[in-house]
Amino acid sequence: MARRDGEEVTYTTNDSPSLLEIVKRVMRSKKDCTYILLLASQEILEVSKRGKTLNAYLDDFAQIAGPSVQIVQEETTGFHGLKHRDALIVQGVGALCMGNSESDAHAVAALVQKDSKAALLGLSCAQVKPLPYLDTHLMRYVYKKKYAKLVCSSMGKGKVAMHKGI
Amino acid sequence: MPRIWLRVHGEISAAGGEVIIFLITPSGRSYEQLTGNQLVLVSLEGLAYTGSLKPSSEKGIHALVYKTHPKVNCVIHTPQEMASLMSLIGNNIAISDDWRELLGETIPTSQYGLPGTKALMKQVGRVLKDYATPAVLMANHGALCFGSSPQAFPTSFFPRGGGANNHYGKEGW
Repeated sequence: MARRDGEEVTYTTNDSPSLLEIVKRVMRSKKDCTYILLLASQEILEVSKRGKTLNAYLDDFAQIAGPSVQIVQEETTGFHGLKHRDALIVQGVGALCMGNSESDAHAVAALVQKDSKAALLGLSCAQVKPLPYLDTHLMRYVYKKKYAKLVCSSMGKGKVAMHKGI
Repeated sequence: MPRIWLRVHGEISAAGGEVIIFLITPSGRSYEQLTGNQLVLVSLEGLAYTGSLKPSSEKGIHALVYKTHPKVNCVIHTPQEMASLMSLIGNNIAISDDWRELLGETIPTSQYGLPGTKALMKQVGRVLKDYATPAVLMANHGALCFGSSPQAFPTSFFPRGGGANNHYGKEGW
């Protein structure tokens, strides 16, 4: 849906103006994001109707996508916490998955999809619970501070990129 | 080897003969660009390692497997979708006849622990001692599969279409 190349941002969406506006605002507010894709699976659309956040059920989701992902309406004028998250779910539209590259965004998308299934599984299995709140934040913090840095370093990304995305 | 998801999550290790050291994938390295000489040599006792790259933070769990099952030469942790979802249910999985020869009668699920911590090692250690199976589900974390060789990994049980899918359907979703 969007790709940043230096200072230039290209938007490829033909979707509604309100969705495009959300994407633009994400790109403006999240300077470390160079790529956004939209994933509109059946599971994500279902989750998008059922609350204000998608909690983390799985540790890789907490680390890479964020401790939780906010669900907003398409007409929203505000969202929060994107500094510490790499996805945003738009109700009835799908998940905006962000990354420092197309590959990173696809990794986030796969995790949002998996966690959406987990959330739906939780509707029918009482024992399926989200991860503890503090644990998810700790996982994300450790991942961003240590692990993501190493991955970017190994992929030859620059100093700026080393602190952003995976 | 069955398709497994190894991007930045999950790790694989291998050893030969009587295991006193093992090779494991490094921490925080892109698997797409990983080369053989970047694998990290780790001692089974003490988990000391050589070289400039750090081993995976889950090296302790791999060491536990080698210690508990002396005939095992390969261990993999995979956060593939089906295994991860089944790990949330928390029950031991009864294995159908089709898979029993490879997997035994049940796949146990260890309780939750923060990744890379001794708490997680403790939980996994408990089920490794109690069950003689080549796979363990780690709650909220994925599957741990092990065998005498990569070909012996039971990872094919978990992806869609595998035996796990039948079990998943029985859970009512």
